[in-house]
Amino acid sequence: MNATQEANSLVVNHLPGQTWNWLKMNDARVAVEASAVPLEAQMDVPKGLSKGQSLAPVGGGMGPDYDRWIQQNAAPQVFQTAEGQKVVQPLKLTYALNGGATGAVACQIDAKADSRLTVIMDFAGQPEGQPGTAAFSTKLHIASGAAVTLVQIHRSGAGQRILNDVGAVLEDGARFDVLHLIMDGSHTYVGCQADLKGDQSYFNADVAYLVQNEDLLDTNYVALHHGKKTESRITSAGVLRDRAQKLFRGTIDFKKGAAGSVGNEKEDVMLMDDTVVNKTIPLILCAEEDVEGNHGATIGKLDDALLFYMESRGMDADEIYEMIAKSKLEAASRLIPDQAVREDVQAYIEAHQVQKK
Amino acid sequence: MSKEKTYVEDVDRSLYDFRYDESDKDFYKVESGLTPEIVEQISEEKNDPEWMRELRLKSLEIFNEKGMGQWGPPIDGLDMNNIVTYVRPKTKMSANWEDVPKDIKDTFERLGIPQAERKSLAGVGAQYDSELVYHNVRKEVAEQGVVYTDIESALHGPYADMIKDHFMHLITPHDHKFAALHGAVWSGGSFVYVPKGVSVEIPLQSYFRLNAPGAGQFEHTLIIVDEGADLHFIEGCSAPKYNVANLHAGAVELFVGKNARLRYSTIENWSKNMYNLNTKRAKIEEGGKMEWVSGSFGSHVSYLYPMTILNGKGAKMEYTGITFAGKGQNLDTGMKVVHNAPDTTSVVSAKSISKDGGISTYRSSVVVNNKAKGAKSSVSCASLMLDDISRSDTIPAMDVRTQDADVGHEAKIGRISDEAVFYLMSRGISEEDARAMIVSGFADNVSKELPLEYAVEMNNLIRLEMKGTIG
Repeated sequence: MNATQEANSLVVNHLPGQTWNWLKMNDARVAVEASAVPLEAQMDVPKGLSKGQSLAPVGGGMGPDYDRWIQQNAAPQVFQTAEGQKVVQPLKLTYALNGGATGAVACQIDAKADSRLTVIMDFAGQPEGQPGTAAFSTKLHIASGAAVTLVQIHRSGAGQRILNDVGAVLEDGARFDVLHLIMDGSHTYVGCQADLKGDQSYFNADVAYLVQNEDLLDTNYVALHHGKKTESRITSAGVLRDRAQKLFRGTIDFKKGAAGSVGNEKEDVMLMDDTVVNKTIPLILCAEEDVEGNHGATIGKLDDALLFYMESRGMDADEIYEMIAKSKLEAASRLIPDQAVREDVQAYIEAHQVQKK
Repeated sequence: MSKEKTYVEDVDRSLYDFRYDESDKDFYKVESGLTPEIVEQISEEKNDPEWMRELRLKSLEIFNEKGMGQWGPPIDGLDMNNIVTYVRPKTKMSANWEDVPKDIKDTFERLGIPQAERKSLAGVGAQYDSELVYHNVRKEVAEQGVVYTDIESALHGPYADMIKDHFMHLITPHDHKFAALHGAVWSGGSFVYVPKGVSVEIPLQSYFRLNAPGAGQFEHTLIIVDEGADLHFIEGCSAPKYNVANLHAGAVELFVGKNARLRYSTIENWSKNMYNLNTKRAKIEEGGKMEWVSGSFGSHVSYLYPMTILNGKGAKMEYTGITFAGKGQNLDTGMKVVHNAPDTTSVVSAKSISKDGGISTYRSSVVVNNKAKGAKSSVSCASLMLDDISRSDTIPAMDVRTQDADVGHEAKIGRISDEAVFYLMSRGISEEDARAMIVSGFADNVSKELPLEYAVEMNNLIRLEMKGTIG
């Protein structure tokens, strides 16, 4: 894109607690075209799911700049469950990303009280497809006692830039599970924020990624604990290889009044080459006494004992690294709650795992 | 067990909160504010060599150009126009305690400095406002070739070139606004040189007392521990409380040679009107080891992140720190480490306690550069919340640029468990004592790293902080 096309520079993935500027972790700058075309999804809508009214504004992990830009470029498509409705089949939205003009998607889920819904969004492209940008925004309101599982699969091909924002507000006893499986994409920005507004609401994010070649992954996961006895869990496991770069931001934010809440976050990164750049910043922000927050991160090479054990069984180090890299994605793929999609993704992992040179 | 709250009184700082009125007769001061004329005046007053005068003026330019970062506690209450950057007692620095003026001597007597020197120190430097008033090193230590003196004397003595080669080379005026401020108006502080292979068996200590209201203290500590040498250096600081802001913007530059070891311990107990914007940095050569032991109890606002550059193969760093933020305090502390060479190691254990509306932030960065093959880093931080009006944040950053590294981080945040308090109370201990015991135990990893007298001081501080009534 040239300078005139790149009319907008969005500041996204703001770190909720700022750090030193020289670390370059406080946010990300993304240049986008001023206008985008709506992206059409191939939809598989389960019976009983209806169209709803637009939600009141819901904050996402990418931040207000991105929200404004999406608002200008995509009309929200709203799916609504009925109160108490258990939607058995998942809502499947498949986006064929073929490059070209920037595409934008705004999807909203309005899960009424005590309902159940699974949403599977597949960002699919051609491995050697034309370069392009696709921007997604998924906002959810999950009412009391409702549960939503959101699966987002990034397999857009090497040339695609993906902007993917998720925001959810959870009422009393609501549950939100999100699975992000990121397998390729030249530049990928993911923001995900869950506002645990209601007492005893629960947020769980599982993230698995492989970033390779010259690709970049920039993420921002935020759990806002407002309600009492809320719980969050953010688990990220991934692999960097070649000259890839990745920045993981994960924040557990205990607001005043969130008594009895628990937050856990964990990141586990395997580095496969000496030319990667891994940045990790896991935050705990706490304005409440009666809470428990934990985070942990392990970054680097494989554990020596594990390596020795496997080498003693006749494998060489390269083979072991490849196997572990694949297993991280496969482990996450097993969490996909739809057999057809799960098998399809596992076949994709098998076919597209780049062999170490 | 019911969750009965403990009301914790504000700390009684009478041990530290005493003062003397400084008359113009006994003290020399520059005007408040920061101008080239004031900087020139300080430079002239201190008889700077030309390079130092230029450094000061250049630093002032940088200070005026640089903005503040957007990431730390607010420092709106600090107005440089109201800060007096240089206050000198009208006395010469002495190596004889009896020659120190009475009021100043009484101050340090009450703080226990001479007693500590007699009992457990190899040398002492005592700074009052902007200048050292006493500096002494034991004869047997001096005979080993150990140099322990004030920076100003060193600038004009046989070590002048060594100072010039190191002074503000690790912390440059370009680093941040307050490093630039320091470069412009620094005064006082110590120079230590430990020759090759010399092990200083007992610690050296510098104690910084800021007595003047509305004043700044900008001491510069420069320590060079040569190849195979070993030193433990202790830094203590305190001030009486005033209703106007005081500023501490010192700088500590530490050079640890090949296979040398330096332990740098700090018990920082500034009064709660103090803005403590201190910069500490160490560079460690091959096989060298840096140990930071840090207890932060005082100040209104602190920005304090000792930085270690592991520059030689096999260099190591350990950081053990505790921060106790009480009423009216916003303490932003932590550390930075850069792994710049193969097989380097860093181990960090940081703890913080927040009570009575205090805000404590742990902020850190671990950078493993591509050259640092085989680097290992382990960071652990734990935060304790003592009530629901306080705040505690953890902001640890990791930047790893080699595959051949092993970096781990863990953090926990929570409160004193009811079960632990109940257990102690069931054995006849009051709730207040039970909580104080638990907090002391929580801070134990720092106090056990300190020489006995300082560990006692730290535990007393914790006890004072925890003193309260059940309500």
